Amino acid sequence: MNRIIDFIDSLGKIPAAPLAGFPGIPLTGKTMKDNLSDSDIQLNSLLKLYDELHQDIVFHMMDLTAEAESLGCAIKFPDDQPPSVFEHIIKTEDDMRRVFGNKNNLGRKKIFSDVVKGLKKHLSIPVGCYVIGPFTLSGELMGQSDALKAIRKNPGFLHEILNKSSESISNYAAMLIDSGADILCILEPSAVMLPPAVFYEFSGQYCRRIYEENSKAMSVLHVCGNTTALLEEFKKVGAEGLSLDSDVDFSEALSITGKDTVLIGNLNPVSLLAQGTPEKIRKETCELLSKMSGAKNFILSSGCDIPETAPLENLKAMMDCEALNAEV
Amino acid sequence: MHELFDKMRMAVVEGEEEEARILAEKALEEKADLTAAMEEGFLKGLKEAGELYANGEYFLPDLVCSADAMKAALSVLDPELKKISAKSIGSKGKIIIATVQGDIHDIGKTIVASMLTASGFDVEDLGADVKNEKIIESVKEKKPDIVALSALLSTTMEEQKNVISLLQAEGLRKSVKVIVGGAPVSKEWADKIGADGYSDNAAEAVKLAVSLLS
Repeated sequence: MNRIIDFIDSLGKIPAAPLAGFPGIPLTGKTMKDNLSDSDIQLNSLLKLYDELHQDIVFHMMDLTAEAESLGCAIKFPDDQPPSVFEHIIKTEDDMRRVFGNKNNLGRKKIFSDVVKGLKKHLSIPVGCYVIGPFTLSGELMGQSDALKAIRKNPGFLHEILNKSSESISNYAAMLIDSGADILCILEPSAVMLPPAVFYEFSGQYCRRIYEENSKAMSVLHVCGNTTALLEEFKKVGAEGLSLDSDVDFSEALSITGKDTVLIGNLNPVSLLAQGTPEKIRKETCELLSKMSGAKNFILSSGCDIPETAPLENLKAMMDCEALNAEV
Repeated sequence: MHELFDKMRMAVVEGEEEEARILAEKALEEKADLTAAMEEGFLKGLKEAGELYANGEYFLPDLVCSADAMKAALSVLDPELKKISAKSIGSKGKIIIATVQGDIHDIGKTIVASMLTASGFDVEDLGADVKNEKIIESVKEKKPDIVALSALLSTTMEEQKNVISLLQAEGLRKSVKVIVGGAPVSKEWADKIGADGYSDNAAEAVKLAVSLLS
């Protein structure tokens, strides 16, 4: 059963769902920090962006720190850059017990949940939500190098952290879905560093569990970077959609993942969509659409989150081409 | 002594940090020949780890373990090693690597740092979101051969240009090679800002570092 394929079928054309949240920021004159701290401001930006783009699926803005912050990690929160975790708070078993023992405060998770409610209220297209992936969150809590080393040197400890992280992520997902999210997208960028032989053990199986515990929503797994070597392993996660980055060849990906999983992507969000010209974007979009024509399991998107600096005319150029192909 | 060096090699190959530290301390206690300890011991182990990675037997977690074991040994031996020239202990050169200020992305940088270490460079990783001033301080203090700067955002890539300007202002530009990387970075950008090189993947970064110092 693949509900995303059903959605594509019902649409009768290739859907366009760029990972575009931040480009809405300049439309309302507030800072990125404002947008990530206030649901009304974020909702306003996203609705204004939708008015310009009319994409087929909308997501709230991406923030890879909300979960870590609510668990007690200090974050840096500049006005015009995405926030970042700068304190790794789990080194020992005691740290782990303390961190996960604290009553989980919601922190800024509530903002995204309110944005989802607002998007559902104002728009009639599917609304997607993001949660951080278990291995990425573990890396934020332990330090990335330490998480990598633990795979070989202290897997038991890492599994405990992954377990507890997944629980926390699953609860957040449930909250977002209760607010109305139709699609649950797990963002697991750190997985690109995992050898195929251990991906499922230290990430995949936990992602799978999060989806199973939140099966009401359609499931999408997003991992940035060149994940071609991991595609076979991604299948085991059972996500209905795979959001893949620009380095992956989608024809090759399709041959590995098959017709029952939806491929989402994969225009380069930085060098093409943010820094390219509308002409170049139209050309590459049309090439991608043409490559994937005939596939009932493809959604046009960006390979990863589109930066705030991407001009509106660039994003419109991407959507333009999509419209051109609507009749196909 | 030969046995000691072999244990050192194994400690790095197997990524055993504590063991590497203990063996390094033993080397100091027994007044071992540190050049040999590096060449036949720790550094040899690191090269082996690099080969295993190139063969597809070792992956990033293994490389990080080996690199950290190496760092543990170096942290003990450093004061003594400083008295010996880098060339004689087989180090290909000293590199400082950082993700520029305002930018927290470090996956690519971690991979590049690990591969450079495994290829025999002495790498100091300053981390991510590193203030420009801190990079300049580190250059003054550590006198590296190469400064490697990573940026993933089109906004933060400007900092690569700023670091180069600061190096010039401090009269340090000629003493160090600057290489840049990251998703929005390109050869054109590298040339424009006066960097000495650019690469878009870790293997190429190693080749670049080698060629710049040869």
